[in-house]
Amino acid sequence: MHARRRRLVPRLSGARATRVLLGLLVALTVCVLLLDLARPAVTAPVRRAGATVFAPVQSAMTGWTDDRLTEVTRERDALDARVKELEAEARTSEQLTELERAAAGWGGHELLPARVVGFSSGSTPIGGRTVTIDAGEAAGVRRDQTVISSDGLVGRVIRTAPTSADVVLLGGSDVVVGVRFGTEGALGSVDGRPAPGLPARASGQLTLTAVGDSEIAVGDLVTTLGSPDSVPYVAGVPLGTVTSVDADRGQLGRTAVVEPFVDADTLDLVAVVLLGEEVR
Amino acid sequence: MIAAVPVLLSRTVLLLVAVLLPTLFPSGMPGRPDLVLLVVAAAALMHGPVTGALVGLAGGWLVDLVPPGGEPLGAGALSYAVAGALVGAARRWAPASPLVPWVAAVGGAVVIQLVRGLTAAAGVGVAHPTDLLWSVLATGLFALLLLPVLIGVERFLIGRGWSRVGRVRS
Repeated sequence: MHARRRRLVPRLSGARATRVLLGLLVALTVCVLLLDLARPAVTAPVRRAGATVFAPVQSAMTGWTDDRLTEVTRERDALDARVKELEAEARTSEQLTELERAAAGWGGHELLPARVVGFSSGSTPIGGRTVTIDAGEAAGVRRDQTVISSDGLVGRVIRTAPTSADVVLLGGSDVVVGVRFGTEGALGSVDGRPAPGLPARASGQLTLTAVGDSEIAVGDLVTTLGSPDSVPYVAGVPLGTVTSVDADRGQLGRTAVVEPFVDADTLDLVAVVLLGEEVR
Repeated sequence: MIAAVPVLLSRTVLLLVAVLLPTLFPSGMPGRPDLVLLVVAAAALMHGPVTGALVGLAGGWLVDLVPPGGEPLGAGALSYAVAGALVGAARRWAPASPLVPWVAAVGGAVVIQLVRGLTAAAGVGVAHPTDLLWSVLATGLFALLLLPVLIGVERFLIGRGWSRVGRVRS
């Protein structure tokens, strides 16, 4: 009995065993893939474990975090936010419009500085634009918070781990931001993927679609409209400028190309807008 | 089984370095070289499609799991496994020319970027054709330098008797 069992093992060794192992692992991967598509909540702990293990390594590889640099950056970002908010306020009072309905601008919230430690691989089967920052739940980062840099809007938090968080950038898949543009503050939306029928965009360029028949002009400033309760986007964050307007094809809303202020390839220091923590 | 430990260990270290190294160089080039694919290609070229697929599966899982990771979980693992198996299939023509390994590695990169482009064209995810092209070019360029080194590592492992060379099936 014992001898027979022993013989069974060598028969499965070598190339055949490797093949069986490959088959098993591929089957397991397919199962996880289907599970992730059907019930993302089930596989979330796996991602969380990966982030818990690898994020400190990435954070260490990105380099030292100078406390003074962090402090100065926080101050600069807060002042910058305040200036931009005051400019927006001045604009609003000048025009005497009541369009600025969003109550809280981003200057009123506390900004948590963070460093980008990981970029999404350019070789995954599903293309996307995501980065990892070195601030997580421990620092108060929650899902759907707005992430900005001193240039403008970066994106929003989609996933959190104890010491890191993943941020989906503007122009990522399924990222649509409600915006105001031009001097009148007309409404529109900005999308990373152009609607069917529009000319192809260069990498990094976004598409602005106006709501209604408002005119878009080259050079228009595009800022965020703000979401209800500022989740996921706070109001009044500069996003980009209009660089060219598409030809009118008789569609409902005019469309234009928007060049974002934030360069996704050179992101380094960013700030998470912590909601509910007014500093004013 | 114990004899395989140094091989597993060295490939794990190589894959980890390949996945984590881009963290050090966040900006600059228009396309990022696919270092994981080069590690997978080196193993596949020395040991054939089955080993190539296994190393590809492991590398793809790392790409999927290291933050920010990939969507959905496991898709990267499968695409790297397919690329590893295809590069491994090119092993039988390797004696024909010293260029064959490089061409095979670039072919693997093309397969991976093609999957990305096709899913984007189908409306899932965002991928610009120019970005895909730059990525293949960057991978091809880095393959010129790194592929001989990585194949050298595989040869060293075989030379120490830590890994066996699989038979080429005709």
